[in-house]
Amino acid sequence: MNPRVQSLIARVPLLGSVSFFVLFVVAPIVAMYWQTFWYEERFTFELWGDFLQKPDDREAIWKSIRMGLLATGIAGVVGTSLAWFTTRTDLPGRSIFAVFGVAPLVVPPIVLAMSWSDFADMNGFFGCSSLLAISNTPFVYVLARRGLTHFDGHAYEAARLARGRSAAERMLLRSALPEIGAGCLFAFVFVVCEHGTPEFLTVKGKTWITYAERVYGLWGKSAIGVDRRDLLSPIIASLPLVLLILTALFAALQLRARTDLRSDPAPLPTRSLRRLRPVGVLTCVAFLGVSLIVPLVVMVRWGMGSTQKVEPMSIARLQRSFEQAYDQDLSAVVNSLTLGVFVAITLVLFAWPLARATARRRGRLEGLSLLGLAVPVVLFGSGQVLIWNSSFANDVLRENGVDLYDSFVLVVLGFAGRFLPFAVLTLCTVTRRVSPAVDEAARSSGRGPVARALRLHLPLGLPAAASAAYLGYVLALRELDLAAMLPAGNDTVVRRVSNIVHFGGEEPGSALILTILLAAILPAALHWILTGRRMRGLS
Amino acid sequence: MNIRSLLTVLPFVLLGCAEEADVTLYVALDEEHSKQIVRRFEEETGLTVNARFDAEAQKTVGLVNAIRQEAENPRCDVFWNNELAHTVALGQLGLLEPYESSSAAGIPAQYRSAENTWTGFASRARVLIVNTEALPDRGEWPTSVEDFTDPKWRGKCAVARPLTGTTLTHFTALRERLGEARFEEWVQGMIDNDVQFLQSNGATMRSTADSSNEIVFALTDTDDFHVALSKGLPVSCVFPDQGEGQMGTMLIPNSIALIKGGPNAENAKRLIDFVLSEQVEGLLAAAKSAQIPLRASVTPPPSEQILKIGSFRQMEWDPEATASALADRIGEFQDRFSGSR
Repeated sequence: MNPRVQSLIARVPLLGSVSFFVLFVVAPIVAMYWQTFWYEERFTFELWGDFLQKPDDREAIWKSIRMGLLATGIAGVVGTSLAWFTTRTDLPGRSIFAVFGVAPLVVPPIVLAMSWSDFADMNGFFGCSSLLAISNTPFVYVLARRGLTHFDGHAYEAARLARGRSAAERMLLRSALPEIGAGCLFAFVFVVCEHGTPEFLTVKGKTWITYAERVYGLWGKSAIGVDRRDLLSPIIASLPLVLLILTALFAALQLRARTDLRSDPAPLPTRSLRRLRPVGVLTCVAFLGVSLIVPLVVMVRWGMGSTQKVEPMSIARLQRSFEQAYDQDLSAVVNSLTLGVFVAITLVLFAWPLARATARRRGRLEGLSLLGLAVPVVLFGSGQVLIWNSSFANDVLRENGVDLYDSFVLVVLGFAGRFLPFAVLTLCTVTRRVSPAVDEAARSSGRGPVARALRLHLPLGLPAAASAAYLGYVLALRELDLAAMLPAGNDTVVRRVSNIVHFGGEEPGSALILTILLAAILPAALHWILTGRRMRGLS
Repeated sequence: MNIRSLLTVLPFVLLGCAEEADVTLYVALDEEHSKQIVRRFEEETGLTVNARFDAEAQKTVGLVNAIRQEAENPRCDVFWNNELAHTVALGQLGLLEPYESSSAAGIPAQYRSAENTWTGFASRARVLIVNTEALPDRGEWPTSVEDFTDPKWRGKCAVARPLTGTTLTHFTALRERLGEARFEEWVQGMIDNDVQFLQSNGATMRSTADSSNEIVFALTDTDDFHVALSKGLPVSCVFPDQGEGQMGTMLIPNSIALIKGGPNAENAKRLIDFVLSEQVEGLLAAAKSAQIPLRASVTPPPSEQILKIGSFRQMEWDPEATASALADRIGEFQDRFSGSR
């Protein structure tokens, strides 16, 4: 084949991914912020005059930072401890505990909050921070494990022989710190983004509000605002949050870039816990209990009728709850699962070329891909509406028989844009490990871009792609706000649950939650059962 | 819908090529109650309805924002709101098309727009929910919203934060009615009396119904009260301010409106006629949400505790004035009830 044609073919996937990124991530966000500068046919900063002028805004940011720091501190300690126990020690059952370290990812934070509110009347700033810490511990845990397992055992042994065990451990910790730091920063980002959990855990005399809640509140106000300032206030107010998140994400990327990515490190020697063994087991069991078992128990109790007094709790009631849920909301279950699967596939298809380009020293793409995650979801969704229901989109698409705005495709692509950073980061890690010499050798032997992609990069990247797809699938199952904002994403389980529970339907609501938890766990469990291996490459 | 039919339509839906519905409805009333009405309309008329529901977490705001954002290219034909103020606000923004439905006969003029841009129906009352285990003696029950400031109930009562939904409308209407000074005195009285400001009316209901909780009464909507009642929880309800010279209980109806420039205006009118019919008001009264019909001729909710229209003193309030004041009030309330103090 003509080398120019080959070169063009090789660029098609990247062009496709970049086009997707521009259309479904950059354009909606830029269009949204552009509105704040374009007023009465002229460019103006007029609407930015009140920016951060209110003391409450500054206080809310400070509160978000404090909550983020507290939750991140807890997540850092718990996640690093779990990683250390499961990678470096002879903890009994560590392979099981290693899997459950990522378990909180499948439980939506709001479900964790509902469960703990019911189980122990959890509330307040500390309660809220603790629950958000638990929800986001997997980020620290996964990256801490990565840091600890990629340290070369030979180097450790050499340090131990030369300067003793303590010095070797300090060296190991220093080596893992960038990864742990990156994990903490990811956890921080998710804590400061979250508005549902702090709002849900409102308590008597609540004298605090997070910045994400404030932006969400302004979005609510924009529904009745008449003044243009009211309408655009959530967009303007979101900027500090966006900057805070972007700073944290870029810092995380910088930290991760400092990690030595050996693909074949000699294993570290295992340490015996001796008298600390009960402490290790207790830590892992407590984490499992707090993050997974309590929500499961509370949901099962709800299904059995714990929230009503008309009849006693029973297994038969639980069965009826499931029947009622499936009778009324089977379409929501099918929609959620379909959405999860399509988002997973789309995510990998678009993230892989970006990850490859990033690994080939186009590092800015990795940073850019974080954009979708940095903007509050209500604004990200508003941007999608702005672009895809615009007169231009209507003229171009709708007049030609394609109604993208009202279609499931927009939901899939919107979700994929939102979760893109996870897939890019996951795939990037693996792609960087592939030596350019391998690709060069294949090229020298006359393999074209398609053959190299199919026979070289695909097999090497497949485990990471599976992990990225799984992550996308789980996140799509638990996303509420974006689904509710895009017309065709309206009928999903999480949205139904939020309504059903509000109207006292804890029984069918819990059945739906348990169904989604099962659906989230199922692919990983099947993979584990069928191959005997855990999904790798989540980092 | 069974799995086979879902799988059959899936490829078309994915490609955005599904056959267009005859009318598009945005519904803020919970799906559990509104879906059956939509299905019945489809059965009776043969028309297909594309119904988009709101998430409770977004409390109507999601759909209202969608209608505002879509204003240039409207997608929605009919907006069925579970309250009134946001609909009126849409009308004031010029996003609603006047339509006088023949089915609206009998609905009090107070709950109909003078320009016919919106019509109210099937309402909820703002009531006090009381824990009957904590307060077994009916003579001890609170009877007025003024009781929230009574030191007798210090720390024992709850109200939803007035930032969204019916509580926002209620507080805004109260401020219009009482005037700034009196309203301010009442709110400060509640704060001084350690009233708990919770996330939602559902949360106030749950706090009151839980006898292990210190809350013994709260302000909520009749639909939330009815949920607790149907679960066998120890609650009762009081329609507040029924005494001579008192202001009465506030009713907040559902509302329905025709969207200006919507793509299917004629079918939309048929849908509005159907939803405003006495038959639908009766269905909503009989449903779990126990909505109070605005027409005395419609059968009321079966629970005796939810009073029939005309059998209690209603609070007089002006939806147009309340909607006009909402934007200012929500800012004040956000600073007051969720800001740092």
